[in-house]
Amino acid sequence: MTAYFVRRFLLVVPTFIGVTLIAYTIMRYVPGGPLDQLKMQARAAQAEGGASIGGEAGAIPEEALEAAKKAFHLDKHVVVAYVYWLGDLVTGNLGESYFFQEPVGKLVVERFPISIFFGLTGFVLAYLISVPLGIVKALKHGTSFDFFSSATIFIGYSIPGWAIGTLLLVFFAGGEFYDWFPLGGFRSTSYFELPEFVQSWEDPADVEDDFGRFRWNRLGYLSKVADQLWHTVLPVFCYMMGSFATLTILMKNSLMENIGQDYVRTAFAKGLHPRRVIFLHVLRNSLIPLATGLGRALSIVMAGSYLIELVFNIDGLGMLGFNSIVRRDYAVVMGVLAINTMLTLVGNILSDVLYALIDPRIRFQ
Amino acid sequence: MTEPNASETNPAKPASPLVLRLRRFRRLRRGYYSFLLLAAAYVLSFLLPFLMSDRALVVRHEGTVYFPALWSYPNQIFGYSQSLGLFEDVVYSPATFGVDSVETSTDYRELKERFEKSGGSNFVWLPPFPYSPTEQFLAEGQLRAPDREHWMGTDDRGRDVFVRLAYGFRISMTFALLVTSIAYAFGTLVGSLLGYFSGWVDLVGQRFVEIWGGIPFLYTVIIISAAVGPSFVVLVLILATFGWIGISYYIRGEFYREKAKDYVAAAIATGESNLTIMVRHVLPNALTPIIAFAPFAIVANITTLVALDFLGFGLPAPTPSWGELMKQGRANIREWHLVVFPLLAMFTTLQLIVFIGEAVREAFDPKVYSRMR
Amino acid sequence: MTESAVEDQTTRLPDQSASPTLSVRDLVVRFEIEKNWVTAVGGVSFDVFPGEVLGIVGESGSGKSVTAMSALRLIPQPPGEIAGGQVLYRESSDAEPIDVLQLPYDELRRVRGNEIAMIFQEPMTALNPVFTVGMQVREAVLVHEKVDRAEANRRAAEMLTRVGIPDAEKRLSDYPHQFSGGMRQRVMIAMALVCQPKILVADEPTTALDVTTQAQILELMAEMQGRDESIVLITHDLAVVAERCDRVVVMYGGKVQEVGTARDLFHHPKHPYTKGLLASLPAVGAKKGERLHAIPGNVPSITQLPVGCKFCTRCEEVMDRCHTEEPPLHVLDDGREVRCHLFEDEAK
Repeated sequence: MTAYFVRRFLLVVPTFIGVTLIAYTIMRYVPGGPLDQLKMQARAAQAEGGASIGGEAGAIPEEALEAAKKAFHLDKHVVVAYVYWLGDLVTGNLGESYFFQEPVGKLVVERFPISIFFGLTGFVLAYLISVPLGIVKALKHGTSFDFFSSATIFIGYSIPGWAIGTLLLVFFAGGEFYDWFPLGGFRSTSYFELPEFVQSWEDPADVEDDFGRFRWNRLGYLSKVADQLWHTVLPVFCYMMGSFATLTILMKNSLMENIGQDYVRTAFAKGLHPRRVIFLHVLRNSLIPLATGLGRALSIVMAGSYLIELVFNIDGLGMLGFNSIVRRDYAVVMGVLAINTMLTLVGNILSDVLYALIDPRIRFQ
Repeated sequence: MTEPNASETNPAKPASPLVLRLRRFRRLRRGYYSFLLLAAAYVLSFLLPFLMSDRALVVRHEGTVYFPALWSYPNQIFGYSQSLGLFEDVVYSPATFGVDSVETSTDYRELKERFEKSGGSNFVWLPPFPYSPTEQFLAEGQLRAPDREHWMGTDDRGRDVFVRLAYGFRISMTFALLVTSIAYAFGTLVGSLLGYFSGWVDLVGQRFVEIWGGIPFLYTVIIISAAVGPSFVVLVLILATFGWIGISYYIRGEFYREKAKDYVAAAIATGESNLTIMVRHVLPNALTPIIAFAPFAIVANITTLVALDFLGFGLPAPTPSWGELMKQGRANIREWHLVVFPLLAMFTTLQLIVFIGEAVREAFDPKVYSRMR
Repeated sequence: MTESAVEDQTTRLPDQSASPTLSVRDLVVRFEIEKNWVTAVGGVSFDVFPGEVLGIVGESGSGKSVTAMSALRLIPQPPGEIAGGQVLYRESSDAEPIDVLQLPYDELRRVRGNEIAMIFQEPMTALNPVFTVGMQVREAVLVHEKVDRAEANRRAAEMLTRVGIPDAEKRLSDYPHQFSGGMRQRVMIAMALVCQPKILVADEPTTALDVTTQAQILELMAEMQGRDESIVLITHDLAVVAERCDRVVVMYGGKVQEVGTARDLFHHPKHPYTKGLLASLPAVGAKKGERLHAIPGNVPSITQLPVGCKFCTRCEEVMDRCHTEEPPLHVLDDGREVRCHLFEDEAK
């Protein structure tokens, strides 16, 4: 079995190369790349400089163009350029952001904790709610409880989490209705963003540094918790809704399917208490499909959902990737994409590992 | 002793599995009615130009009958002066702009008022909801809250939200149906080939499918979209190129399963050609997953379109779209009608499809719920 | 084969004077299939005496398995329902009978596995795939007896050894999929017998196994049977019945059609259905080229059972009244019971 997983990990390499190569190629040949941007900037500068020069629109110094070409390996064949990128990646160098003028690695490392915080909280909550709810629904199949809880689940089924997010913002974040939660963000970035009750006990002077800037770290422990929670509720709810419906239905169906199995009859025939039959024999079997889903959720848990991050203005990995696409900051895009791909591929293997651990029948060859 | 009261059921005539399944589907009320409702709504949505439009259905003017909903007429026909009619106080002659006459669109709502005021035999028959999805009611101000005239308010360019949602339904449905059909056709083809030929074709093909499936697809769509600024057709094709992977796995698996069965072995033994075997024996069985998954693929595709429109990388600008309205809603957090109504439209539509999907699954694979104690 | 098998067998005739360990009375079981209630067992009665092997024979759909499951109320509900009747169980011949169908749930659990145990057709699926065999046998002990884990483990190992599993001690920690089909059925038997139940109900215990294994399992069951312990063997295999059973209940269409000792039944079948079943068996010494007899037609689906005699659609001696009037179970002088109009006079 170890051999199987070693082989699986080795197979990640060609798949990863394939995926990133395709992405790299698309980005290289799609218009709007670094050169086009350079030209556009030159044109803009010219327009600003006045029409007096006139004529030759978008002329950039040949050297500048060459330099840019070199920097992005555009003077080489796409595959060669890709190999350069891959080589850098292997040595841990993700390149430099065109927009931030900072190493991509640094940008990513800064945002990882933010994405993980929301993703993981939402994910754990989704499992904590879905598993018991699915069990109760299965046991009470056909009752009014089953029926009415299904109604909620259907909402989650047909509206994606981020869309619910926009609704929540309208209703609870200072639109026409209630002003209970902030419009977004990871934490408050200024004193006046803090929830009012926190402001009531925190003195602005205490949380400012010598230059009068707001320092979140200087908040009291309780204020920190309050502010963090205040910012967490809505986005985490959306993360949760994203997987809650599917998980609950999966749990319910899995349990109901297992209840009809022969081994359940055997267990009852032995005279076991129904509690033991359901919560030991049946549950252990019906958790298998849910557990294997854990691995596949890895990329969402760690890299976040850029839609939810965008809706709530959370400066996480997803938002970084999305904004970089908009800004054509290709080094960052490739970096985020590489991380995402790696997480997905590793997540798939993790699923299989979990599967093998939890189901004694599985022996991968 | 209790007499068995076995209820009498008609001896079932032999019917094909598909007919049986469809019959079972019809018995599942919720799914069946959802299907009827959605199908009716979709068919009706093609009549939208006659239901929601600023162009009159019928105009009778000086004894002549016109059908503006079908053909365009220059507005001077209806007694407008040869003017652009831009401002009520200052009337510019078309000559000002160097043209003889201008075909400006007629404001039929205004025309109706005029005809009614003047009396006579002239009349204008407007569609039930006389606004078009791209018409801007700027005079009345943008972002109007819902009122009697604009049931769901207007958006940030003063366009009627209700009309845009209705047109958005047609576009979303058409989009999702097209993407799903193309993706499934291609996925079935790929899956069949891999599953049928197996061996090295399968091995190599699987690697390609895996790589293609590994691409973070929405990301890539956004990259392409950001650069190209796609049209409806381009967007359909891009999404279809990423949507075939799931079903190809299923079809491939189905082929592997079916191939192991005796009847295919028998077909091979009797010397039928590869193609005949595939088409006649295996594909009908592979049809089950296709039909069973299609509703959920449609749901996913509608959601994707809404997300792309929300991000601003979906359909080009004036296209009525749910996602674009929600984008406006996110930008104007006080305008609840820009979020609530599109969400409601999306929820209702997707919910109907989910109901259909559930019923299809149930009809194809009925599960008897049993509970031992 | 059948004839000779019955001849060779030294039939252990049950002590019918003793009160039966188990009496099923007028059992009715219904199932809801697509909104229609269908009667799978339509009023079945029979007795199981101490120390005997009772065979219940019938084609699939005859209601024999459902009858067996009902004895422990193991009918999934929904879609099933035990709609009437009694299942009377006597702990000893002089004890008051208790009706299993009316027992409070906790007392029912005490009967399950402890007094009446069951083994099932599919040893592949009847064991929980994610728990070790040791755990599954052990928990049967733990639920009924006040012993500690170690003792339960010891009992499990001992039982597995007795049913012929080599290296039982070690194999306790193996999972079901690591056993062959025959071995799994041995595990099932060990699990069923570990609490020394009075009655073992075996629902087609050998159907899923190959022929050699079948014989071994049947042999094992016979070996394990104690003096007062009864076995109810449900099968469609007449050869198995002939070889192993003392008395036989023949079922068709959810009804008992004929009851008698194995010897009587095989030598002098009375009910046309029993006759047909026996005629469809290849007999040892039959002439080469002689054709096997087959009962015409197919078993009707339980949703389409005839109103009168359940067998009237396929019976070769059918009369007009059979279609409209269901015969009662006639009790004949020699204790045989036959549900057929032909024996109306003989019964009087």
